[in-house]
Amino acid sequence: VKVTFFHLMPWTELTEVGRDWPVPNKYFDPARGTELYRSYIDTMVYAEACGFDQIGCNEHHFSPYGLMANPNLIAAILATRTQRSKIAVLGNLVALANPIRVAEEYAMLDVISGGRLVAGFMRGIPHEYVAYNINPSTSYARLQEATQLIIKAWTEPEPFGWEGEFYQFRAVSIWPRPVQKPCPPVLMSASNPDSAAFAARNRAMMGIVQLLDLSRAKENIRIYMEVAQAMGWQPTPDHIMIGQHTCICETDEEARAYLQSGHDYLFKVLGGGPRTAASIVLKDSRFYINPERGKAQVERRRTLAATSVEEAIEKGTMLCGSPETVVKQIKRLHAELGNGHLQVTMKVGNIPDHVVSNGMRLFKERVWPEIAHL
Amino acid sequence: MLQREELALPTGVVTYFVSGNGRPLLYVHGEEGPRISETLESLAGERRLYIPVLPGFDGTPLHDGVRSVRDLGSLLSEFTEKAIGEPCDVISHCFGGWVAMSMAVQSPASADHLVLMAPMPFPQGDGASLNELNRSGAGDHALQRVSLAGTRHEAVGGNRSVVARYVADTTVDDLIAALPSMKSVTLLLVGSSAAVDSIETARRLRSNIPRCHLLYIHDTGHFAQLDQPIRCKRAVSDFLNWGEAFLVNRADQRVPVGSDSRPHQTSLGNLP
Repeated sequence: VKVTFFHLMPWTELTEVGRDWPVPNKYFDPARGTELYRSYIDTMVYAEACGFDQIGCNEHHFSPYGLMANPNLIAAILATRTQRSKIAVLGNLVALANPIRVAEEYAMLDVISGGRLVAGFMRGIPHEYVAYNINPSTSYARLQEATQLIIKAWTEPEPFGWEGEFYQFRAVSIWPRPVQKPCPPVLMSASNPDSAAFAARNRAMMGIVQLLDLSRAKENIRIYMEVAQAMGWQPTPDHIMIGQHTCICETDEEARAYLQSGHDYLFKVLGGGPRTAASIVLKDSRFYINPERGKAQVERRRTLAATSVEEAIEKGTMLCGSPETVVKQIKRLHAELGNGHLQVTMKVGNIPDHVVSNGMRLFKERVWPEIAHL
Repeated sequence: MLQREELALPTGVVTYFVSGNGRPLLYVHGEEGPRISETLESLAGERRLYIPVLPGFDGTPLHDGVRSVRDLGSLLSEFTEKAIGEPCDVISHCFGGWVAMSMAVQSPASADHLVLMAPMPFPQGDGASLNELNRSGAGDHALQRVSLAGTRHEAVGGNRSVVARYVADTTVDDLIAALPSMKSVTLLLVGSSAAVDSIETARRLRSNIPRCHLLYIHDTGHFAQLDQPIRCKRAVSDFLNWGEAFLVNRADQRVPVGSDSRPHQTSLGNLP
């Protein structure tokens, strides 16, 4: 199994339970922001020394829970400060961006890193469509067209133009081109059945995060495999990435206490605003192809917020405890889902950075040796 | 309305159709025969559109001495000179693209701007099929979706035999070798979902024709002008109106051509 160290770069200084969206940026302290960025980047660079196969970042807008409005800036730093680990940008919100810009920046990252880019093509979450003033009902169609255009920009040897529904470019010939051939590996979200099918149709790796339970993840994987086969290709375990909130301490009790605290901060303080925005967006849009899926997603977020760490561990949706406990949890996850990639998020909410880096060290010394053969 | 005309040339009589007013535009049809798509119909609103029926297509007689794509190119040059009387822009589909390129190579003064929609793939080294229509039947499906093709569907099979006959007497390498001498500014339209050999051919053309622009039409394969008429019309019209400056975004100067979601009824209908 390959393991990605993922960082959301959350803001840690809010104190009140939030329900409004957008969260006023008067609460952002730039001096503290500088400290956090430096600390977070150092932590991500340290992930390579701890043996993680990939280091991951992602994009969010107007979001205290994720301070990477442009993850490519962070990825560029990682590309020069690391040598071996892949740089997993999970991902750019391609439906909101200029796809040619995405193609160019991803190509730059692939070249700067010497061919270590994993390119996430994400749709984003509902409130991002308000942030960037894009009709959420067009999200899937935009993602589809942008995906094809970006891959064309990477792989087309001759200058070309593009006449589409959302994008028209009469002359495209990006410099640089990516190192990886035919193009960098693409990863898409598969956190609901529609997106799982979408990822398979695009021959992308699938990523599932924030599981409610393992049975739903299994169902999404089944759909992904089925659609892929219908499309004439066969995914391997390497195509399946499962993301989990993770906390590793010397004892189970310590880990549970830290993760519960970080989880509460993430969902109750940082997550309230986005949940409010999601409700507004989903009420009158077709962000989800199936309207019932929208209701299910709202319910999913509520359930995630209300689920205790204890319950999540029981259901197999969080990795938490001593190194020995976490080894057992990873083995259970792998046995049930057959994933070849595991993505761990150790900075959950406001878990202290020293707890995160200690957990990374424990992962390297006492977890890795037990799971490397999986 | 389309008018049916005939023109006597030394090799035989050419049947052709004319519609619209404005600068002349010559359409060189593909193996589906002379069919009117929404794209062509809307262009006829801006141009005087000429559609000659290539000899042998839709049951018309073959011409003595016209055996190859090169011969058809010469025939079209002569047609342009006598029926149109001035150089014109040329738009083509599939097999018609080979003929249009041959015309442009042999008579650079005849063809001003040239549009190649989904040009027929060049034969592969192993002698594989010449075109994706024969291979998949996907084109048949696309043609059946438009009323203009309905009653003439049987003719398509016969037209394919005619294409095979012309191609058999054509040295493709000679056509490719002549491409660098082309003077026409060229727009190459290819569906983003076109078959691999179609895309390979498009790249080869882009690489060999001096002033050639390759444009992918999103969400279509071989019949972009049927599947995505608005996108095709937008690209072709900009190219014909602005030449190579079609690269510049002039969205605010465009004549509205309707929306992608609006159902469109052709008024020209079937060719008589």
